[in-house]
Amino acid sequence: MTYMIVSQPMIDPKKKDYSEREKVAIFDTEFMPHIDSMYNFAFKLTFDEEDAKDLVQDTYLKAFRFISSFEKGTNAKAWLFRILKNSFINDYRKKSKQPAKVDYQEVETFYNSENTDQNITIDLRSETMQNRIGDEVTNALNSLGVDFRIVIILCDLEGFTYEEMAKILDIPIGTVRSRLHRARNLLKEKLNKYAQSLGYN
Amino acid sequence: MGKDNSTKSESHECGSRFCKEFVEIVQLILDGEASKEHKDRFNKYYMECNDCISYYNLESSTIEFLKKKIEEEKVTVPVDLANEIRIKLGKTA
Repeated sequence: MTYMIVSQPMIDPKKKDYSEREKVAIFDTEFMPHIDSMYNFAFKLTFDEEDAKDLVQDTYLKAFRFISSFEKGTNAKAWLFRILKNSFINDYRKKSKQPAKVDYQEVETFYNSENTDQNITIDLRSETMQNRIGDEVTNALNSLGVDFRIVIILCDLEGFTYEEMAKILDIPIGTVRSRLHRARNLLKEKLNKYAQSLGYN
Repeated sequence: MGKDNSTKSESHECGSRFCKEFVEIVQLILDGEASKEHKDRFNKYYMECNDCISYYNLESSTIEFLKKKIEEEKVTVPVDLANEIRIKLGKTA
């Protein structure tokens, strides 16, 4: 006698049972309005127009495929950013030759140490300094490790709250705060060196 | 707060060093994440200490400059991207 094991479909009570019409409506009215932010985020991660396009396309296709996990009327932008970030980490970054790891132990040690209050004297209020340092800011930001770059973009460009960033990145709020602090200090260190090379103090 | 613990007996001068709490509160305030308690605590010390004011102003202008710079570098979305997504979605849905 042969027995067949038939797996029962798992029923997730949180999943929404949207009709096809509702899915399309959610996609058009809640997802697509964020395409501009999504593309900019993707571009700042990949530094390449075609890769950014592919990443955004993948994200939207995944978003539609898993739309039953999204609750209508909630934070679609954060939900999409989370998918895009995960796609980048899991798929795109593997293909890249960029350094993939950040030593978080080193970061946390730094953050908890006395060195966090080191004085960084660059003064970006000077208009002359701002003009000269413009491109250098871009270079400094782009040279940050991807995990640091992501928190700067999410906070300083997209205006996400710490709570939203914690959900997008799957990390505790305290880690968001310390990573952001560390990212900005790294930027300031880079810019400070540049300013000093120009004769500023 | 606003003062290195090692100099508690001295007058309220931060010099080039800031305590961890002050640095954290400045960040919370500039990121719009500070509670009323944080703000009250910040204002109490902020009003008393020139070094703290300087630190706050420098942090504030740095973040503002950074935001402005990143905003300026926004790229335009390719015109066909939304359509390409809809076409692919039509094929895969």
